[in-house]
Amino acid sequence: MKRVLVANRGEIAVRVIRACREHGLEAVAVYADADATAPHVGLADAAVRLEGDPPTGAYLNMDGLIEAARASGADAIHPGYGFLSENADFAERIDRAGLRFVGPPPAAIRTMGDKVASRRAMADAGVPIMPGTEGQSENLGALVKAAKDIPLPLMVKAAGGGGGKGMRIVRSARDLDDAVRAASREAAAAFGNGTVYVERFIERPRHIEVQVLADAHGRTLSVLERECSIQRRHQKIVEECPSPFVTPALRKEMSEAAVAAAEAVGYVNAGTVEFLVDEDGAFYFLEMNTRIQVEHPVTEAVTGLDLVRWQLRIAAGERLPFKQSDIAPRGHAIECRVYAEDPAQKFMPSTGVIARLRAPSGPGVRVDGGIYEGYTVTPHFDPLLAKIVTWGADREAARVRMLDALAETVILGVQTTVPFLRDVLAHEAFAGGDTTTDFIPVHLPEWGTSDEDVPDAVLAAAALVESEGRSPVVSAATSAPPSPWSRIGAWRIGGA
Amino acid sequence: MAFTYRVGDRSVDVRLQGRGADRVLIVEDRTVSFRVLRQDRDELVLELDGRVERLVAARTAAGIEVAWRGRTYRLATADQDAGPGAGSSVGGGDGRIRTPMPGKIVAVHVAEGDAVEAGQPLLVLESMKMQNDVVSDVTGTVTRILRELGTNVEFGDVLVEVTPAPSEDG
Repeated sequence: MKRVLVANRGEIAVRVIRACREHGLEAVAVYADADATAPHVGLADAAVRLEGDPPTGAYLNMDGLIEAARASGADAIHPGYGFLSENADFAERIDRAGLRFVGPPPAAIRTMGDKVASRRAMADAGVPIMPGTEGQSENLGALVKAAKDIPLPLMVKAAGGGGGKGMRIVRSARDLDDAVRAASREAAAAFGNGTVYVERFIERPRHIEVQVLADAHGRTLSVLERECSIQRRHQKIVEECPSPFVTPALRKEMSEAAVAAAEAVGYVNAGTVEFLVDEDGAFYFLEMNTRIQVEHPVTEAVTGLDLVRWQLRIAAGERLPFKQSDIAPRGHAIECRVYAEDPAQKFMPSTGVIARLRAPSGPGVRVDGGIYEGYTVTPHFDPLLAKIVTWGADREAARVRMLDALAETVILGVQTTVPFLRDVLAHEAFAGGDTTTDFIPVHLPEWGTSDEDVPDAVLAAAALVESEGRSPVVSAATSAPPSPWSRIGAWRIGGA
Repeated sequence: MAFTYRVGDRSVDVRLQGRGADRVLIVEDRTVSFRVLRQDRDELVLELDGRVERLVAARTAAGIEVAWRGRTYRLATADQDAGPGAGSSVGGGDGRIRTPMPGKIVAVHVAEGDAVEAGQPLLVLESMKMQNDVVSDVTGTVTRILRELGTNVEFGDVLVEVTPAPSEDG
């Protein structure tokens, strides 16, 4: 492996390109027209423009990506997360084209990508699964009938998707029929597959996932867990490693289950096994993400392992040189996801030009970003702007460091989740480790800042800037200065 | 120099006096003295009330944005409106339902002539891979649907017109 095409954009493309560099590999970026000035393009050794309408199409264009790899002399393709990262057909076509896919075998993607097939595989492997409808059913009436035997409350989910789409909670048996139909409609629109299934729903659960690394020579290791319970719209916004809830005994149990899950599908490369955990510590398989996760940096901070670099090394056929007993947490790390969203308006996406940008810095602070001052946040792509990760000797040290890092962060021009994240981190329930998936609706419902008085310092700054008349109005036509995010050199924190 | 800033539905009158480092800010009827320790373009270090404050400000289409201690304050200047949708709330609208963000209409739940409640979803807008309900801001009757299923819409476009029903007590 000498040259890797990175089939993605945004902060993860930047992250993968850096890993390629550090590993002595050349990186080829791809980009849609809307991304011609994006940071990942400028960081790569070569860049290939791809057609796409809407612009996401560029990153979903299998023929275009494989042709771009060939034309640019790449011998491997790293898919990042999202887009084609969990598309078994794409992985297969890359294999057939004589290139390496930096990810698991297509068969593992296919099994884990199907909620119903993966449940069966996990049950066979002895991994605990949630009580639910066993068979998938295109026949919604039959599904509703089968679901009547599962104790309430229930959760209706899409067989072919994720990210909260096609999901419904059912608390009363008479709502089941409507919920199944609505979820199926939503799933069909979002994933082109209206198949849904029904599971038992756990009140106040935690979402805890286990990172695994598997080489092609039969060694599968678990690399600690991540607590990912703080979610909005069923999507994660704060993650940490290790989980404040997991005891060494529970860690061992979950770790063994995760390894069994990976081995059951012949998994190779980095992957994540997600579990739902109830208040007694009973855990149930949710799904396996057959790719790198957004929140991988917290694991890197606490273990000192470079997970993206290990993806490249495993794809190149290297063996994992360490054992399960070598992996132990050192300190604690927290990640906050900075989205272009308005937390006061139900996290509605916010678009516009990044007028000012200041990233936090200092000991134990890492920022993975994909934006720069002058960058236009469009409605075409996922609104993740950057991830802030802090490491500390213990959880409280990491938490306090994060509060400071968020206070240092400046993003003007679009609404962001930064002020909301500060309130999450500052909340006594978070400080106490009482993190369950209902954290936001329970502790920060109807969040808003509009009725606060404007501090004198803010009024003084506004009046000064206006009186100087030095600040030109930023418009979409502003040309892009060099990116402060991409200039942040050392991505690794808290260790060698 | 005098300025009027609006935040939400409130407005604040501010006067800035002095030159160089030592300045005075008059907020309504209060006088606040402060010192400019550093001003580099829109990056400011002020000393105010015995504390050092770091701020970054920028003029944007919506007025002036100021970042301070992890919060962003959006101050609309006198001649600028905060934009469509700003400050609107369910039940208190004018029935002209506008696009809260650019996106594509992926579902339309109502037809012209339908009676709707305030807060009832009228259509679904997809933006940044997320589907969001666009709800009616009044109780009344749908009189016009101005954008069709599948249309790409811009921020502030009027999508649906709802004629408010006469209120019960009036």
